[in-house]
Amino acid sequence: MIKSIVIVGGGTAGWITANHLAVALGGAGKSSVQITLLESPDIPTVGVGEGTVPAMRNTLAHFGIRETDFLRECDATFKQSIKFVDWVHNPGASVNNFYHHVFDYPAIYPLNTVPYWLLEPNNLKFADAVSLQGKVCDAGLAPKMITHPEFQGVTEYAYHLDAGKFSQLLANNAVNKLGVKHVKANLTDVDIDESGDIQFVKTDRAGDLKGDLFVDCSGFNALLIDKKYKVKFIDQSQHLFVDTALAMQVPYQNPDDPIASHTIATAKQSGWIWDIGLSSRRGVGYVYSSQYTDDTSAEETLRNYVGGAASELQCRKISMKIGYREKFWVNNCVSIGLSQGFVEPLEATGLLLFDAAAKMLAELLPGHKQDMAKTSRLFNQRSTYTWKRVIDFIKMHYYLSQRDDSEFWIDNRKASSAPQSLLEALDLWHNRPPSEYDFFSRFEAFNLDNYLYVLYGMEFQTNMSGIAGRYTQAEKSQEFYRRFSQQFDELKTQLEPNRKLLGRIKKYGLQTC
Amino acid sequence: MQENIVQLDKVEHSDIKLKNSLDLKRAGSGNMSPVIVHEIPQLSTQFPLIFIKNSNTGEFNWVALFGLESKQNLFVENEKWTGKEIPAIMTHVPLGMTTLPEDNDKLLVVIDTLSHLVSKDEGEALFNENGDETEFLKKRIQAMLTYQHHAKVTKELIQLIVELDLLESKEFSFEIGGDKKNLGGMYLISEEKLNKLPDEKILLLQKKGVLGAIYHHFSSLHNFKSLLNRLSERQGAA
Repeated sequence: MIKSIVIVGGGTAGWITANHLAVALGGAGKSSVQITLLESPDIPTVGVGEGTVPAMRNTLAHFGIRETDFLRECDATFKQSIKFVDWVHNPGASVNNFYHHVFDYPAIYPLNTVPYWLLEPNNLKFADAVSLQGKVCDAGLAPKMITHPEFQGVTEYAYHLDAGKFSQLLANNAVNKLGVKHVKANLTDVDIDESGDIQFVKTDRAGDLKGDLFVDCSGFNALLIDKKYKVKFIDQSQHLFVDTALAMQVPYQNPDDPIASHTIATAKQSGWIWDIGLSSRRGVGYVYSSQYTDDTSAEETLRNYVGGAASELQCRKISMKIGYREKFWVNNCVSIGLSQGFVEPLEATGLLLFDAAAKMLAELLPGHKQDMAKTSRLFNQRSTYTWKRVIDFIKMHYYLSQRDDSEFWIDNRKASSAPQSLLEALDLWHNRPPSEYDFFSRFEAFNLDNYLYVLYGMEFQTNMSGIAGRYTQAEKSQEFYRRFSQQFDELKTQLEPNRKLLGRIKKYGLQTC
Repeated sequence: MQENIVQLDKVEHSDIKLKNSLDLKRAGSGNMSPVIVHEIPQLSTQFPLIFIKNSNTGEFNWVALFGLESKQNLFVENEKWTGKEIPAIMTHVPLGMTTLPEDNDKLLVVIDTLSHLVSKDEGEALFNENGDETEFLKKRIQAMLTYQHHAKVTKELIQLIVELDLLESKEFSFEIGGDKKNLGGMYLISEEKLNKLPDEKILLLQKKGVLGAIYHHFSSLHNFKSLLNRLSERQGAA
């Protein structure tokens, strides 16, 4: 019987895993399984990963965390899109050099308007043809009103959050509500028996921690999966070139400066800059390739982006290894979080992948130790699939660019730099738009909607000549475009700016119904 | 309708008189009015007493409903109140009591000087020649102070109802003159959720004096039928 689980690492991945396991295993006081989380008081967390996707709303509700508490305690704000600036053309090539990857599902029911837009774009950006959310974002409006219950809104939304404060909230929830034991000590050694299973981990001040299952959430250190089991790391730098980040925390100039309702990702000569508005400050950072630029020029790029406010601010450098492990679950040890692998945070993949992996583990965890090998095979297979698809999707953002203003972009657009699976998918979509049948797994990290927004936001060309005759309802599709525009005009009068709503929620809270 | 709501001031308003009547242009222009728990038994005989969300704060208010569309008041005819009952707060107008945004404990008396009840020659004086409050004004202020106290109690009771997760969103669908219509944005107490409460929570509701009000809320819902009758009479007359 599996009776005790030890999680090594107290960052976001560790605490997300603790919450998922504790909920799935029955919660405080009633469960037959004891969960212990070992956190080193001496190793700081990486604390990047401030963007989420809408699945986070389900996760919070699943953990029993109130949206009001979450927004108040994590300086969180609403996120409805990622706005990609200067990704398609060289900077300055046009004033409209941006596109939105919004969270609202594109309007493809009852009529799929995508082929009609491809046949006749009508000067509409793709996102504006199939949703109204790009306009909501550009107007700086929140996705909901004060009268909406928790976790519900007019449009789909996720959050920007302070990762350190989020860890704290998750820790309080796991310990105080779900009965997780929190041990603060440093891991000093790992004891493995002849079968290769971990028996216990040794600590410097809390004795030995025995367990039937160990979860490695120790971040880049990968204390168990790498240091102990030496599982191979599959490098992906031939596809994804960025390997360094410079991060900066930028205060607002005035307390009532607007808070963007979306992440802004601005492409630069050797990478891109993230710009995320929390309620207390902005998180800004340049992710770049050290092969194509040096730290000094990178810092200059970042400081130029931030402007005058940057002159007194420090930035923090983080080196990254892009790729993932050959296996994620070995014997009785599962890795979740940065110990699994890492990919640049372009589509908020950090928390997304931690959450998905922890959820899968909680759901698949067998009752008996002898079933662990079968389960680990399934877990490894699914996780590898997810990582490959994530790499494809991220690479697509570079590969489809038309930029040629630096070697970084020129090399990124070479077919030799793209994974075969991406080239094959794009090859299909050269002659027909993507279909739901291209995304057959229920657990894809990125689905039809994500691909549509990025492909056509990036001006990907689908040759419709062979199938154009099938689309006979052009008038109806025009009607849909008009409807979005009307709906937005109405919504504009009801929704208020992001900061204003967040202020109201701080003061009055949201209702649960 | 023009308004000029200002703080009541013994110098500026020394010569103002107030007719002791209702100003329904102001108090009766909407299709609802907030209620306090103390008046729920009487009001439940005439109006549906439902919960709605305040559009500024998202918080729940307990209100009496006068109409089935916004701005529709089926109890006002020719500027007269035709109901047997009326929520107390409507009788305060054109006076009112409010708190300062920066100090929620400090209460201010305000007056809408553009109300037709305000004049220089008709009605009861508010201040005497020495600038002191008249007995009439004292009584009106006392009534509003009592109301504020009751409103605070009501707010706490609503909070308890919310915490016990008893509310659920409901729509009222009706047909009038062949048209199908919908009244949304309304919350009612769920009998099912109430019945599932553990004994100690029921006891808590009873001790706080809210259990009775909840049953009056249930019985008040029969008044949707009388609202519909009033509406069809009005449309028949038109």
